[in-house]
Amino acid sequence: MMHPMLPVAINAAREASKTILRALTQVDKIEVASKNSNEFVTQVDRISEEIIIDHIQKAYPDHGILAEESGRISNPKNNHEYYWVIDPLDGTRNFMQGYPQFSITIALMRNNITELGLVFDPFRNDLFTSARGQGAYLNDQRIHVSHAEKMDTALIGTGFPLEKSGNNINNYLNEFKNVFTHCTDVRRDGSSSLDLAYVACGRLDGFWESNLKIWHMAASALMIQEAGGIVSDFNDGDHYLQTGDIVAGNPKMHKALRHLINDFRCGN
Amino acid sequence: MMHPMLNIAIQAARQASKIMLRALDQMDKIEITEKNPNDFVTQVDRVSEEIIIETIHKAYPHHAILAEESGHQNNQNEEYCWVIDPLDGTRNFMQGYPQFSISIALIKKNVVELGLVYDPIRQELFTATRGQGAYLNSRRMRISPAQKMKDALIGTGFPRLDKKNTKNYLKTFENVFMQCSDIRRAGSAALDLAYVACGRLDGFWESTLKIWDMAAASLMIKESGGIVSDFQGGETYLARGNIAAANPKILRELLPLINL
Repeated sequence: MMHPMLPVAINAAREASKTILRALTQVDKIEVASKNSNEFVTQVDRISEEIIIDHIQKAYPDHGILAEESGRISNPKNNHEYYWVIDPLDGTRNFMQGYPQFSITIALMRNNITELGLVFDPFRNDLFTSARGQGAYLNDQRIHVSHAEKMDTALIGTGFPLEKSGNNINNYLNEFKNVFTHCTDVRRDGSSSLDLAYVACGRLDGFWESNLKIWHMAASALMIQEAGGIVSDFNDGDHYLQTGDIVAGNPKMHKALRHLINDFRCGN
Repeated sequence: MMHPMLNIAIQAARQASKIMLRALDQMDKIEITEKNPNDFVTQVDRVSEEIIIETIHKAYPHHAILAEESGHQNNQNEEYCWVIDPLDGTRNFMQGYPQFSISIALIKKNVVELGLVYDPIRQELFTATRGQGAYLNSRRMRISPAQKMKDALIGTGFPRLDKKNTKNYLKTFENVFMQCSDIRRAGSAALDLAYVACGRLDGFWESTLKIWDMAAASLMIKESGGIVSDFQGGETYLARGNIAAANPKILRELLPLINL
């Protein structure tokens, strides 16, 4: 039985993806004078977001919205019992260059608890969905986190910090070196919500990144939990959606990974 | 006009990709029953290679073969040699991570004549023929026009089978990371290099690769206006396995960062 609000999210994502894929075929032609390509991508981002918001508001005019481009759209009638968290194009840097790894992500929060999560990869046509208490699915097949037992055979995903100054970067490089040295290999493909969805379906054994926004994490975090995995902030707490620091994996990998990235943080 | 030998390579890759995609479908079920997914992947690797070699040998029975699984075959004095990686990105494949490729090159007297890289999941076919340009699904491809390292998206491979080099690698990683816009590590070197050829990545470097990881894609990069070299800017990349690739401007900035 599908959550009644999930079809709205799926339709919204599929509609938006048409615009994104059409735009992708034009990326080539925009001879990358990097400023123009930035504007072009922002434009695609915005149109994709409009389409998604439009779908949602048509079905649920009372719900609130929190979206990457337009920020918070409140609805006083609803007092935020329900609000939708949207990233209309996660992996813009990839998209800008035609690198085929990006996604649409939509989550539904109810009283600040994630009820629904969707991540859609338009290029591969991979649809990841999850409803609280009802498991997680990839294209209608139930998904589970990986069975990995040991870090030295694990494939770990990460995101690199965009801000390359100060303590952040040193912390990150230390985390990276420590994880890199202990796992079998690291992946960095540039769309956090998709990477996290890969943890949910066992394509990655774990993932960590700092300074993410709620729209990168909310949908996939639910998926990982529903697929038997653990999601936390770097202190093993529940504040990842607020702090933006997230670590995820099956219970064993989550613990091992959290230790590896904390080795350097505690000493600060 | 398509090189007739390219046609054979394309046929071979498409045939092999069918086996691969079917195997990928079974991955989920295998994880439960089989303790060691390694064996399964090695099996897929081997079957894919057999199909490719068979297709080539049917058309060109005398040509030599150099393939990842079976090594050298046939007369090594033969002027044509096919260099084959039947499944580049095995670690990804093993886990269903959808980034892997088939790579086939034809070498004539030590010069790469043809190159093919095929991504079965996205159905993207990258091809190049020496002197005739490089193509992605029949569209001409070109290297990225990036001017500056600070705006560049750079791909790399981590030396996972060579952990004793970890320290050196991490130094080069840090050097590049601090100078470029962002780094990607997707796990199939042949595909990453093909992405350089079509401008999806602005540059790439990796050490200790094998000739079958590089030969096909290196021709593509040259044919699309890029430069391929070893870490010193020389020509020994196919022999020594250290490869750097980009457009001329980006490569000039990349080499000092990775040549320790």
